[in-house]
Amino acid sequence: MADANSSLTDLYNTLVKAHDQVNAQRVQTDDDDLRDAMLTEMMEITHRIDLVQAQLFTQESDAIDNGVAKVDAAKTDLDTALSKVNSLKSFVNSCTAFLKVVDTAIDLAKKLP
Amino acid sequence: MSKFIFSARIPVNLCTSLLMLCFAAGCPSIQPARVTQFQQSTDTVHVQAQTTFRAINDLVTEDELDLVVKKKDLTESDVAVMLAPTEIAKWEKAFSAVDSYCKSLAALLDPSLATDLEQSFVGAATELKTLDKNALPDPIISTAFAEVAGMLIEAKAQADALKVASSADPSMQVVFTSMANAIGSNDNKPGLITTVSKHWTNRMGVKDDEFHRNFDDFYKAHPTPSKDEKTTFEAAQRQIVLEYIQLRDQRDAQLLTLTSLRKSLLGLAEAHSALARGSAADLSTVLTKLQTELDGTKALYDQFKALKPGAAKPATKPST
Repeated sequence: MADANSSLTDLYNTLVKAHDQVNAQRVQTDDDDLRDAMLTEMMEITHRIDLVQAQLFTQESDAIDNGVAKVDAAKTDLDTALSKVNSLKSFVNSCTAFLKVVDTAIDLAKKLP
Repeated sequence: MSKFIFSARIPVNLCTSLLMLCFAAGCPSIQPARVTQFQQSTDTVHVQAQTTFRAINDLVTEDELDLVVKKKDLTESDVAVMLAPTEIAKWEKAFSAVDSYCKSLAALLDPSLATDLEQSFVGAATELKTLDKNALPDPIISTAFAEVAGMLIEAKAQADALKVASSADPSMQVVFTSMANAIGSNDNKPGLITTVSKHWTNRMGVKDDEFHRNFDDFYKAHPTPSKDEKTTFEAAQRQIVLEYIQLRDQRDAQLLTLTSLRKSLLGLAEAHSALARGSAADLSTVLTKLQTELDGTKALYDQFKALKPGAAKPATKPST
């Protein structure tokens, strides 16, 4: 992956350099037809730059995708921590409900002859 | 009884004081409001990335059309989509994951979580008191214990949040810096900024060549032009110069938008790093800086849209 990335980067840099060189020659050329031909050449080079750029964008997007798995895991950890707090809350509430039932039972027992 | 109340209140008050002191005296902590602010900034950057990618694909497609009409054969690679939907979907997934993470972080740090628990404890203590008058020494004590329980939960939530944020931070750095790398920089290195700038060089080259050719053709046809002929010619050339200026402004606005987006992505990485360290001061500074950048990016994008053909054409160059 690193080699493929490096080759693509080298290819990209070569194309960008070629584009710059043709453009530098074009602006110094006085012949209109030659200027047009050079501009078409620049467009062709740019099209190749686009194709390599698309590959580089894919590689960067893959790196992003790999990082996302751990962000998802962090979200799960946060949800677990939150559910522990909620469990404690529901445990206390259950105790309260239980005590209410006991209260009722005691009140009932007091009324018995 | 009063002796018991006195002795029981000391540890409760001490514990409360220590916890409050810790929150106030700069122990690492994450403020829920800052999590929300970070989440909102991420949402804004997400929308800006979407609109930026659309604009880049439109630019490339228009130029591909101009090139392909000169050819004899038409192939799919002549009209390739540079930023493929499958790749953009990975960015969407990443932004969505960060959004969910922020929501969970905000839920864990929600102050009402501790308050609800305090109320549950107070409810339980009240029931216990009803059951047996001697079970708890004093309502003040039971309320104080409930408060401490709430604060302990808050402290535990803070500790959990910091631990998770800290372990997630390396991945957050990978996500945001990879995004910034894909955008690229202004130094002719690989990235969208360089690619886009080459398209604008070509577009401006078309105008530049047209201007050059018109000059040659005019003086070939009129070796000694009259004043009127010269005026008509210069008016035509002026129109080309105006179109050239418009292209320059569009280029500058789009490149500045991309540069600003890159800065915002790096700002998000920096903000999360401060959040994971529990440094409220750093996070506040980074988020303020980030907000300024985001406002600037939005203004630039609006300017870029206004400069597009068919839109109202402002006469001045966008300010940087």
